[in-house]
Amino acid sequence: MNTREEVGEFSKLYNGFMTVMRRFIFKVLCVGPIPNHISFIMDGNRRFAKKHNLQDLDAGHRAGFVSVTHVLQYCQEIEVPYVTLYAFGHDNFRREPEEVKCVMDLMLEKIELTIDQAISGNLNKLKVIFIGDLNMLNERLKAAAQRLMEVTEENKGLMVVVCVAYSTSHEIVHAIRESCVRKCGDGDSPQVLEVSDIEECMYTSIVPDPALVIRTGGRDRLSNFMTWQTSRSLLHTTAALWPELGLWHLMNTREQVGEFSKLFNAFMTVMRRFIFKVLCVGPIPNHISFIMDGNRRFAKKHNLQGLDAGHRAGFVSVTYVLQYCQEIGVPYVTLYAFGIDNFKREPEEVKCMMDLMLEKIELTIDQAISGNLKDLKVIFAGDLNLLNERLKVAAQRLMELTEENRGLVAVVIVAYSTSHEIVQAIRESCVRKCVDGDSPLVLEMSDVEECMYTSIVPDPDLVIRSGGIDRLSNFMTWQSSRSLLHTTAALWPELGLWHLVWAILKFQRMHDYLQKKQKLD
Amino acid sequence: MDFNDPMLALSSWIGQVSFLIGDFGLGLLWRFIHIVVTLCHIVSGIFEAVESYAISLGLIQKYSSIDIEKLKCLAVVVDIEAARDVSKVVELLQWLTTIGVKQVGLFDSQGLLKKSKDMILEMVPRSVLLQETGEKDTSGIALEFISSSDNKEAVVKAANILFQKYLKSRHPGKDEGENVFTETHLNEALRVVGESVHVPDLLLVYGPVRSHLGFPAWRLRYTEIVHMGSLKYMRYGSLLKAIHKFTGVRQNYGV
Repeated sequence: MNTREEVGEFSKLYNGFMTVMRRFIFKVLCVGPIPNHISFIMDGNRRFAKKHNLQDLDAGHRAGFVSVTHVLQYCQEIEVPYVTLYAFGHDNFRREPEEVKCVMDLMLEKIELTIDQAISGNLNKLKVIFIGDLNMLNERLKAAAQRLMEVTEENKGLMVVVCVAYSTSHEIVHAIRESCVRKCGDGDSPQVLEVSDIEECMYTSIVPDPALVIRTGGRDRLSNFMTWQTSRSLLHTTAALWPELGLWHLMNTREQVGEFSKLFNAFMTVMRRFIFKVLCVGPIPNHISFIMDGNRRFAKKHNLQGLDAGHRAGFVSVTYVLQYCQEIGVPYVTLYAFGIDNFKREPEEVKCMMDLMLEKIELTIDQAISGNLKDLKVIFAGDLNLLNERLKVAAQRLMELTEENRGLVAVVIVAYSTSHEIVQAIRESCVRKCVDGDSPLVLEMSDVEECMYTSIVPDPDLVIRSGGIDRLSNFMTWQSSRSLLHTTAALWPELGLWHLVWAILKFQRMHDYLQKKQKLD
Repeated sequence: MDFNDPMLALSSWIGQVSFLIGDFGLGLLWRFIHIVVTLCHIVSGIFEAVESYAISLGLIQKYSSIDIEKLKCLAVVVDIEAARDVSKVVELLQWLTTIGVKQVGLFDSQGLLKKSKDMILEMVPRSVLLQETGEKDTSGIALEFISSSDNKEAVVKAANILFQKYLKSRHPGKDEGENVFTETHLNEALRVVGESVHVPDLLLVYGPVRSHLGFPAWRLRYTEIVHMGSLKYMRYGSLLKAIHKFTGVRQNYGV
């Protein structure tokens, strides 16, 4: 929110505050009984990837791993002694070989990461155990799992049991075999198997039965997971996909959680509209420009693999920002999507971004055709001849489709730079002057400005740059003489409601001064 | 279970409350939010001031040595209210000389500093006007005075030069007109018009708002823009901090 360097400190402060609040909430929760053992069936990773259009085979699972770290942290804070995570089942080996390999590689990567953490002493309160038919795993993975178990063996604190290559049916059969072998070996006792003999040989004998089983992904079955051990367990299912699981899901264990999140979302919408109503008491910028920087850093920060992963996340931000601007009533919005300098990037990366842009434009064209985009007019500005044919045609189609719309005018700026714009505008105005026989052969400022790509919109009142960088990077330096230049350290995919509200509040404070400057001109 | 009804109820309740509160109430709420925002700025201003004094006193290690070689050209935008007080500008220039900055462009939109050019050159020791020094390295500080007329109007003048070239090259009937319109040609034309095309690495804005206030758009393209607050309350520590931060910046230039 804060536009100077304090933003780093602010978000630390914010995180610190949230941690204190969370610990307080947990203290209250701990007044009542806490489950001794919680099992998680981590379902929904692939659906999450599909929902957010993440391309890679393991994208959803990577997002899922982030959830794992949070859930383990919360369970540790609540002081749950045992946690089981159903990571990979026997049945899952029947998936496509590529996908299985991908998941195995991801697991290896994360285990090695965790081993490093353990060695550096950051995992003192966590004991990790792997159970299941470990012989089904490849050698490296098996060795890594065993190493992690050795490294954390002495740790006290939360015991995390990771179930890989596991299924109840296999476990029961394996336990029976094991107990038979033991009985044969043990000459004294009678040659009859008891329940206790079998249960002793189960993979899950190291932990008590789970008190609570939480399944994400909205499914109501156990899917061959711990059906033997869960006779007395509360089986809780939540519609949230595993990577979406958060603090509140963990806390609310009844079925209302689906309705709760709907209620919560609706409540947030009403609050947001109210905040905007208050904001609109003061002056609202006529035109906001966004320099959408930080997509690649976001992808790196969250270890997202595809070349366009960060930009996909960025597109989600674009939809939110346009929605908020529409609700607030800002007439013009400019989005700096792709600059001429960006063509100097790796050809694969450029192609990836162009393909992504084409995909999103075609998606928007479909929306426009189905009548969902009545309040949005989209215009593409920049040197469109630098784009490939398909993209150019799609952009023009979208412009035609939304031409008659009234409402927010969203100008998407592609293949643009101020220097290119100025030079092209000079050329265009020269050509026009030549053609126009009557007027004197002298260029005026209005002639040049008329020919600029951005002549279709008024000068921006507010330029918001994400990514914490202080320069304009060859973007609208001509048009921004009277603009408030606001920079925020948040990366573009992280930009949210509060960043926008803060920028507008800042604009409102400086509005009189900027108006005065404009009048002086 | 259908939660739409309660939400509709909540939504209409908020609508009714807003109506009851009315514009006056909303206005009060808005003012209250702005008071809170102003308080936040005051508090962060206090922290900055304290930090700045600490830096000036040399208490913070990392600011004690700055790699000034990285800063080839500095520009300063001064709000016109502040530009009237030449003594503050002179003080700033003296600080910059101490830090070791070699080239400074001073900008104010109305050209007030341009008018006080001679006085400033006299009062700042070892200062020279930029044009005179050319590419020579001097021990002092080379100053440049810029105003709004050096921005768009200058580009239009340069455009007219290109226009004349275009007209001349069209007459023989060949399509050579195209070659006249490149960035290099525009740079050349700007030089002919008497404009500097030095690109400042860092732009310090002394005024209430972080806005470049019309600094020449052609030169501003990759410049780091830092807001320093008002010139009247300028601080040496903040200046050092801004320059130090700049030396740590790495540009991708879009790549």
